[in-house]
Amino acid sequence: MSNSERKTLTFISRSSPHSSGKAKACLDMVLSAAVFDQTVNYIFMDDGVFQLLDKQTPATIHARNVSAAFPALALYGVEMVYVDEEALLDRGLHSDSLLADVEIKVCSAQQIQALIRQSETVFNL
Amino acid sequence: MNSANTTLHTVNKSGLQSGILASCLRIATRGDAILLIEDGVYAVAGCAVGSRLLEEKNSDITLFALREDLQARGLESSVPAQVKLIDYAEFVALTCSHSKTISWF
Repeated sequence: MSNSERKTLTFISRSSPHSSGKAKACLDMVLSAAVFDQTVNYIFMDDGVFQLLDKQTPATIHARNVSAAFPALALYGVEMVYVDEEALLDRGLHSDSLLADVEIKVCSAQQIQALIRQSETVFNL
Repeated sequence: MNSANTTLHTVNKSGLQSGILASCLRIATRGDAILLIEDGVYAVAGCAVGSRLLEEKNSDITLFALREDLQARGLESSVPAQVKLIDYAEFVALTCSHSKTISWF
């Protein structure tokens, strides 16, 4: 794929992991974009930050483990995911309770705004 | 046609029932526009939380609301002056005049 076809796509995942298919849908879009060699910003805001919690056992409610795929993101060229610091704070979460095998950068609103400024397209799910 | 790297944010839920308006305002930045559609228009009318949120940012972000959605909900007369009312054709024009659109739903 030529450089001219390479775009920066931002995906904002704002849904909790097991209440709907949105978290999985967002992950699928991220992986699809990455497979097609696009630059991907994967941002977690609002209840989406719950996707990044360590020690989830969704099998106990017969749900699929969306988070299990996150460590594979690096293989697709998505080296890092971004998480909204305020969303963590509002939910009493600290970055040390998040997945250890994923590179997670905690971001301010300004940093998220900058990521969006750099992107051609933003998906918000 | 595109103004320099600006984003149009569309919000379709009221500020009370859902946190999306607050999230949108957190991410919206100088020069952006926020367009309230569907139940999003409640934020400019009856919803005190929504109005306060909008006031905090209205100096550097342009606020629009879709006239049809306000009319349908009986809200057209309660819109503050800083909110610009637009129709569907102007909605289309707004999407064209911004470099991208983020849909908050």
